[in-house]
Amino acid sequence: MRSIEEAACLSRWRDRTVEVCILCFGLALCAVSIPSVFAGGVVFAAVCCLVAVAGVPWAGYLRKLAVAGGFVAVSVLPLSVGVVFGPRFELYFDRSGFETAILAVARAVAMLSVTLLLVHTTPFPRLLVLLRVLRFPETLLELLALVHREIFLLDESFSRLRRALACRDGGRGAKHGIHALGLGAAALFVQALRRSERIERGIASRASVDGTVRFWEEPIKVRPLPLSCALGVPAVLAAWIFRGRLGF
Amino acid sequence: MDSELLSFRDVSYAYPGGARLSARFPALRGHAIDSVTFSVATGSAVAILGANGSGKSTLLQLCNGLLDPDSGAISWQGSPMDRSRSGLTRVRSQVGLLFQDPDDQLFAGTLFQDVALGPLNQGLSRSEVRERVQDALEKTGLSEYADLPPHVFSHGMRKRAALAGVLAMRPKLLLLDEPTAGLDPESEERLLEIMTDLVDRGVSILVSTHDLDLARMWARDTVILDRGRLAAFGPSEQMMSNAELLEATGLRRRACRSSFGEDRMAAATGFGRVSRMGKP
Ligand SMILES: Nc1ncnc2c1ncn2[C@@H]1O[C@H](COP(=O)(O)OP(=O)(O)OP(=O)(O)O)[C@@H](O)[C@H]1O
Ligand SMILES: [Mg+2]
Repeated sequence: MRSIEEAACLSRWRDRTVEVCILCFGLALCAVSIPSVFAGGVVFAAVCCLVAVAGVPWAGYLRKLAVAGGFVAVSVLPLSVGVVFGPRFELYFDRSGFETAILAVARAVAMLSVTLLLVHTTPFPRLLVLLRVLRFPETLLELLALVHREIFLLDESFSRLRRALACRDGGRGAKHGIHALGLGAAALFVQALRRSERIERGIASRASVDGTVRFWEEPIKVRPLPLSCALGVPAVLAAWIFRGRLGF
Repeated sequence: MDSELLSFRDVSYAYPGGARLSARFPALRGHAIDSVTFSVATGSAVAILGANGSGKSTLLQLCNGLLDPDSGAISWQGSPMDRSRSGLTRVRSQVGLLFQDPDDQLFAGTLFQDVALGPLNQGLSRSEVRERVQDALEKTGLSEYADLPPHVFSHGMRKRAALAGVLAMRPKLLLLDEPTAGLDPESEERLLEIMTDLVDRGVSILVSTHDLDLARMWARDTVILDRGRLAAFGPSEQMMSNAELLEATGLRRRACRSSFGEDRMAAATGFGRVSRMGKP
């Protein structure tokens, strides 16, 4: 979470919310409609080029993609095995199931890479501005903004608690790990309750008696050149993916 | 003659459940604040001193209407504090509070947004909000971090960020809860400059602290709290020279003053007398 947010704040595209969203929306459409694994590879390669252009740190980006992609890739296994419940129980390799699974994984990984590109290049507060422009309910946006901040506070409290526990019990071994996790979660619950009460006071102290929070928002600017790139890249990619059906 | 800005008359406050706790643990008192009477004039610089748990933070939260007193009266600018919604909004936009824990008051996604929160609630125009935010960030030395989220800051920087949020509201009365705790000497000096400058411009400041030097050098008046009660209130010089009072209220160590204490400290640290290190 922290590294994503930090990358987004330092990204070259942090002020290009609209363009990045359009770009990622276009790429996402390409990702979900790829007809072959090879096309998936091409979309992924295109996203990787964009990651480099945006100045997103490679290591963190690939690590997150590997973890999330790893989960999805596991699904190939059950889909490529067929079972016969006859007089004799039989397991066999299901080729069509395997091909379907591989295509699904390719689409999912391409989609994940696009989503990660979006969150690594657009700070969350800027995304909220865009959601407001798109007329999302005000209360929901306020809640999202507060939850966003709370997540970091709780994450920080939790890692502090775990470090403090590790200092006292040596922090080694699975038993210690489970113990620390349980204690940490329990303490976190109490802290979260106390914090919500204190945050409420913090909001009230800044002249907001009815509890509404008005956040400052920089107006969204759209520049012609980045906008045409954001439209052009997915369009070229889509034209290449569907070149057969488009007749060239 | 300075006009009276805020006054407390016989104010008491107990946290919910405080009475039950104090019945079992007498050290935890039922009343966090107990029959406190004092007043703050326009342009005054007041330090609130007291041991841990003496009620400093509670007192500050009573000052801007975050907590409701159980008994007694709090007046703001000569009339009883208006506790209606609009009344509280008005009071809180004139009385700024810096919390002891900066995380209690940093809730926006970026520093700029956070500092802008108060001025936006005050209903100012965008250009004025922007001007105030930039000014507050400059004063606290955080201008270059305006677009970063608060969780990347260290504790001291968060403290300065929280202070910027309060300064941007341009309050008439500024309540600072242990503002120097955890700050490096340079930031502390900058904070003292800001405080002095504000007092010169007619803003009143109430600072809760354990730092006797801060009270001695900066504050004109000092309030000393002892277990929720007002132990003393008067000119800082007078308070600071009253060693007995400071010891009785737990503000000054007894042990280190006597030579016995010094010897004990020397034995514990193994460094010889602390005050004479390097000069045998
Ligand atoms: N949220 C709370 N619920 C119940 N009791 C509380 C709460 N906060 C404070 N108290 C109690 O009120 C009393 C005064 O607390 P307060 O935080 O005002 O002290 P303080 O002088 O600011 O202390 P410190 O120097 O440690 O910050 C203490 O006895 C404390 O136990
Ligand atoms: Mg306190």
